[in-house]
Amino acid sequence: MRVPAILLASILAAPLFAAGPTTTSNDDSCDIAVQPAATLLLPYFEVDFKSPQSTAVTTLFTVANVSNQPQIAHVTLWTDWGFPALTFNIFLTGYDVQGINLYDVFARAVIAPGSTPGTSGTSITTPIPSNPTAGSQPAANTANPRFLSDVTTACANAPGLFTSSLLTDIQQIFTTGIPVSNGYPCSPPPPGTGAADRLGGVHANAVGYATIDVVATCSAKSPTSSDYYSGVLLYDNVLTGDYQQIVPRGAQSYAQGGPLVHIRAIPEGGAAGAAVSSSLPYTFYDRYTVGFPANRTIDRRQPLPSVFAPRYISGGPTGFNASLKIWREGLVGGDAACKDYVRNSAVPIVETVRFDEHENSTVFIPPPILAPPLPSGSPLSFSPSTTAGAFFPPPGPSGDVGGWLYLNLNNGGSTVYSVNVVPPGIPRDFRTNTSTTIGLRQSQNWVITSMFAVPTYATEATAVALGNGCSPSPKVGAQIAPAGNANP
Amino acid sequence: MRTALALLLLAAPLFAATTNNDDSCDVALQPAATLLLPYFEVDLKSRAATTLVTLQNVSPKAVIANVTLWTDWGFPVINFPVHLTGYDVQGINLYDVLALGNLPPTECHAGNIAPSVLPDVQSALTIGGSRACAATIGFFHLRAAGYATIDVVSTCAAKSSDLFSTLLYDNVLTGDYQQIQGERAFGGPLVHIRAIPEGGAAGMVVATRLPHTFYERFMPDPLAQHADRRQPLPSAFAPRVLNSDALKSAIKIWREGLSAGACIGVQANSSMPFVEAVRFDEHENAVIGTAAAGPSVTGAYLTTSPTLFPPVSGSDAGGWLYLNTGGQSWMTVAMVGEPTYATETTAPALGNGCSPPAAKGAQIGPMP
Repeated sequence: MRVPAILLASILAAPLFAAGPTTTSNDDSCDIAVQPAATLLLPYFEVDFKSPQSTAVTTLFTVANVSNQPQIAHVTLWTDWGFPALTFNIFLTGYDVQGINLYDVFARAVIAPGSTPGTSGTSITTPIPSNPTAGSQPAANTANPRFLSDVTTACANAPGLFTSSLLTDIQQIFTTGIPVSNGYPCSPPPPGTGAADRLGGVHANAVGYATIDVVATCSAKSPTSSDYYSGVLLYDNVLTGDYQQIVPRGAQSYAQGGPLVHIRAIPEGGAAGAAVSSSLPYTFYDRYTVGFPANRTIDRRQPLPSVFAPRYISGGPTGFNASLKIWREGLVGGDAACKDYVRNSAVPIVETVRFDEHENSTVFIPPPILAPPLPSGSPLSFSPSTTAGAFFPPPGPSGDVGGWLYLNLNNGGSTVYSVNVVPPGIPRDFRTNTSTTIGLRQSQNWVITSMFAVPTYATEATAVALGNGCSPSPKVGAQIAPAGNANP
Repeated sequence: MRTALALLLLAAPLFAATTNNDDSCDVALQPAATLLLPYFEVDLKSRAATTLVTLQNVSPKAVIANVTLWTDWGFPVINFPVHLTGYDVQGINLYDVLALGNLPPTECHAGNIAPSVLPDVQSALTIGGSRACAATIGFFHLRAAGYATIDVVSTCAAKSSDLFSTLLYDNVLTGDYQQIQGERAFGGPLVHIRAIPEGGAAGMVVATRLPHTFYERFMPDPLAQHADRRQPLPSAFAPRVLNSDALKSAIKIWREGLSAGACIGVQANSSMPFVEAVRFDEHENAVIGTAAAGPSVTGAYLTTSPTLFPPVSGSDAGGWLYLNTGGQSWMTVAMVGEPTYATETTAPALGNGCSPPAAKGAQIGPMP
């Protein structure tokens, strides 16, 4: 998939089978903790680029490099149907921190604006300070041994301004799902010759999600392409980050925020393209590693969980009310054609259950009993109210305003997932070949609970997962409980 | 404890593969056996400033959660049980508890805080004085402040003074909090501390591969110092800071105390200097902290505080702090902007509780 980017760079691919790095046992876990990581996920963003900044809803995120080595953070903005619409790079000196206001991106065509108009905020030419202790001293901007040889020129001015035509395209693609032109591979056909292939949903504001990866040079490559993994992706757990969603409403303005999802590389370290085995059963970027049949875990990123237990509350006009921000793994792989992205618009949900404060549960009953119906499919990044009847069972008769939701967000699998072949008649799961999930491996998800009460009370909390990405996923109708712990 | 030792079961399992669900030192947002509310604040005279805590039992079996409220110097003031039916959820407004003496009405039938006891609880959490202790046990502040722990226990009669005899090991609790201040709200998940390995009866001493545990300083027998089996918390954090016209940041810090909560010696928990504190601005310039004082067991501090953190240098509004406490800690970053913006986020830890401690002056970075 070719994706317009701010910088084009020539890529010197690293050897495919370099010496393997040593693992750091500290990181050797499937648990997603707020610790330095090799990939950060912003599960949901929303930007009103049509309004003045003083009244525009926007999302900010900040990325920090907590190592003394310089790093390059490769940012990809994806539509809510999982199309990688824009990539750009942030050069981070050792111990650097960089904020990105997505309003700048979507309304002003500028990324990390510098102090001088027309300049960018990150560059490999950033001066290195002389700090008072050796332990706080950043290394030189070219000191990272994992960098490719072109990094000095490729990252001289990253990311900077981009063209107005590209701005128009990304505004269109994140609000209508259809780019105008500008060389996007899925440009609409001439008038009267057929319908355009959609790459995202229709919404008033730009909506999508973002990934931020440690890479070896500033390039235009996309995580959907094989050469991203063979050529530029790195494995150093050095990035941290957080986000804020700002809702300006005059005297009743509010904000919500939290940590980005910190996804570590296991094992960490090594050069771009190094073929290193990982103990992970599958990985975050699994669906894009089809080109590496002998090493489907080449990205080494921790997988995300599939089952969550967010709290809900529906306190009415004067009380707290909850909504969720949900990220889901898509069904299409890196070789997806334009017409394929629609599959990510309604990704199935296996099971949702609502518990009220008296433990009464309401459920969507699976087939063959079709009333009430199954939860609707969803796009990959969306923010439903916890009362949304399409996704969640209705409240019970108790009248309770609060409780929690059991969300088994498995999507039924995809042929591009690394475990996608089920021997006929053999129940299996992705890990042991014997356990709870019949068929394809579970899919990855992330859930955040947002709460709001008038006039300006707003909080946000990552929802608790009932296991991690390595936990076998429960069947529909299984006893609801924390994921099984086979050990110790 | 003698009973506990009599039940000694050194199962000593082979160390499991680290990708198994619970066998990790990483503190993730997954069902846990202990929840930590690192900091609470309650105005005893008004509901306008309070802290709300919600507990969930995500298992089908009923459990009992023992809630303990501690002063900001780490002295346990009061504990009460919350019975949670399978799949139950229970909200607790600490204003109701600390201002009114009302405890959650659950099947533990704990009643309410006796009117004769409530003033003592309030006093302990506001002026640091209590009839239970002749010495000072907390700072003076207008609002009640401290932290809370919530443990899975075996009985409604659990006592903080004899924690181990009733402590259970089932990772079934989840929870979150909201702190209300005027028209702003802050919030996030509680700290989810798992038991490793999980399961078993109260009082059982089971081998754990954890090098430290969350409650190790409270375990009564030095031969079973890790009997609580709770994951340890990290010691080094990298909170982001901001001091612009639009947004200002504060850090809520919880730290492991030096004393074990006894009346005598709790003052040692009132000021525990950092091993190292470094401020990085947006241009990576570092300022090294030299403060002799340190935070107490819990507190909320502006990130510009010159008495605790390295001073701000230069004109950059933002950056981050490297805070090496040398012991178990937890930090969240709250940001406030006019007119009513407020957010809170867990600060990244540079390792987990099993990471070797970082020495002063060592190269700052992710920990092994």
